[in-house]
Amino acid sequence: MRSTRIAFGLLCLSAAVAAWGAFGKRGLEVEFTPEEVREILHHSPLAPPPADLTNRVADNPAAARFGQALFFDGRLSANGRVACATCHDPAWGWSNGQRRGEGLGITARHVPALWNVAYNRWYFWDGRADSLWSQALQPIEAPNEIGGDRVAIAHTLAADPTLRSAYEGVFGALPDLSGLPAHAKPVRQVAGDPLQAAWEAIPGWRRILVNRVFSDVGKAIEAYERRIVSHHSPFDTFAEGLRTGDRAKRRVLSISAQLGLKLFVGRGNCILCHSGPNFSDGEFHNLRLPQDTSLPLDTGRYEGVRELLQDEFNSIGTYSDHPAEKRIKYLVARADSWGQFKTPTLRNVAQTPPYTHDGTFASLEEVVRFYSTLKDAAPMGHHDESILKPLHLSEQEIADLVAFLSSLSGEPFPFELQRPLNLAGRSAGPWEAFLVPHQPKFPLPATRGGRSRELRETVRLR
Amino acid sequence: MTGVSPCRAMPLAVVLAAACTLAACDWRSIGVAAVGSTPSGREASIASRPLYLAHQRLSSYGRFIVLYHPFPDPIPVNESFDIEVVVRDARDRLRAVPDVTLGINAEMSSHSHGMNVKPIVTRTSPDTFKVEGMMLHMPGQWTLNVDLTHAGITERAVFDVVLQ
Repeated sequence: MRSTRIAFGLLCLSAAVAAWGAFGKRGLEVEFTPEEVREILHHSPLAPPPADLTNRVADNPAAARFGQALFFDGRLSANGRVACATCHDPAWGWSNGQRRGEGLGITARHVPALWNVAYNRWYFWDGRADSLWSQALQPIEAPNEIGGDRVAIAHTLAADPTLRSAYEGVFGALPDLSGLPAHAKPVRQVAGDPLQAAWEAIPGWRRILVNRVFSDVGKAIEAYERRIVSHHSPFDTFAEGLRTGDRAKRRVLSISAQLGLKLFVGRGNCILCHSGPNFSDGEFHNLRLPQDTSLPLDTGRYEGVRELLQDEFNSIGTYSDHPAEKRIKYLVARADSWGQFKTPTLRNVAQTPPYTHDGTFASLEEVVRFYSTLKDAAPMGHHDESILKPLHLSEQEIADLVAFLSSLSGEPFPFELQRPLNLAGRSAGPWEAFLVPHQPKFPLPATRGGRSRELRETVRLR
Repeated sequence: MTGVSPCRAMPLAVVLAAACTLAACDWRSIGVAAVGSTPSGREASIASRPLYLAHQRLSSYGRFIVLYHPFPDPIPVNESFDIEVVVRDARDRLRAVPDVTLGINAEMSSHSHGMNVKPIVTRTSPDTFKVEGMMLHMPGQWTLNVDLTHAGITERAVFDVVLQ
């Protein structure tokens, strides 16, 4: 009897140990060290966007309405059918769900999502713009994107009573455009371009007036884009629970996501770059992504600095509302910035595949797996930073990290901010009424690794 | 009533008195004011400024004493900040070195990278330089390198900065 009791006790003990081994640290709650708690609380809550002194109408509601109308308006483009929303589609997380952008042509890089762009310090993957309004101007005139020109846009504003009224209500009277050519813009590095010739034929003082209107268009678009903010995610609720000791709020995050968070702030070292409440340091790094030798070499930040310093619409230029802004005063192209690209925010990251500046990875799992193994990573150059070390994650740890990243999706975004705006005040039709079905003109490249993607039926604005 | 005997209380009282005296002093200025002879007017103004002894180093060949003070303090992560750097003769800490030039950079040796910015250095007084536009964009251990060139020879003062 006694030996039976002992054996039974040992059996129960063994079962308990086995259960702990299987479920122990994945029990009801994950324990975080004081250092981990401190790091986690550095990432929430997300404060309102910082002010942009270079744009005096950045937070003007009327400018935002005007900007929303422009964002969805194809008349900015050369063919009247491509708008900002063509690539920055709200249905695709303000990106386009594909490896490259497709406007009038194919872009060299993946379309960055617009979530929380107001928190950026630099814009584009290479940081070649230092304000959201100056960033908006470049795709408008890029021949493979919207393909418009600033003189034609000024004529469009002047010719449409609704647009004219919206513009003048924010910025004051449009200048006199009589006698200006229908189309003109500066075109760099293309000798003999007719648009460049037409631009140069315009007197200098009138070019300044046109540039002023063009910069105002960008400022209105910025006022709208500053509203595209993702916050109040399940992670934020969890962080609040951690801060206040509210266990109910802590349980909002699954055990898997909590373990992923533990990796994120700990062994994963993700916070080296994805730091702060916006989960981005806003600076540039080289991930040593696998090289696609079929594409031209992309210098990233290195060339971006040069382009930014030459941009007539940068923060210290004539059209900035705060030219004393010293953001770029200390900027210099460094050798180690070669091949570096901007750290994107991770808020709403689950909504915006594919990932990285060239859309290398089709899913978050692929991204995490790359960090785990650094398989096919480009060799480190002489000037490259050596942040990355293979993490050697288990399959469960990869799933945990992906679960945490998915918990960064914020509350639903207001529908009225995701659609074209009718400035005339008539009730707007449904979103789909503004779209026409469209087959892409160009074959879209497959994801890296040879896996093909289904061609997404893209849509264009009427 | 029993109490502590005067013989035992006296050393304790001395220790307590010394502690109170030190606590009442600006300890940061003691290290400078105590060196050398009684300073004259202009030298007194230099010597009486509070200096942060934790941010003080000798240069590599020992010719200069270098002190820095960040603004804001502590140094923020991934935000622009300025530094005031004071450079004095290591053999006479009250004496500035007027013809020394200063260069500065920061690096994370564990990551093999430096800053993404090039700060601007301005001399504001015989012994003081203002460095504008520093930014340490990642948390972790940085090295702040202050290079001082005098009479064709460059020396370096190295400071460790840990950002969290």
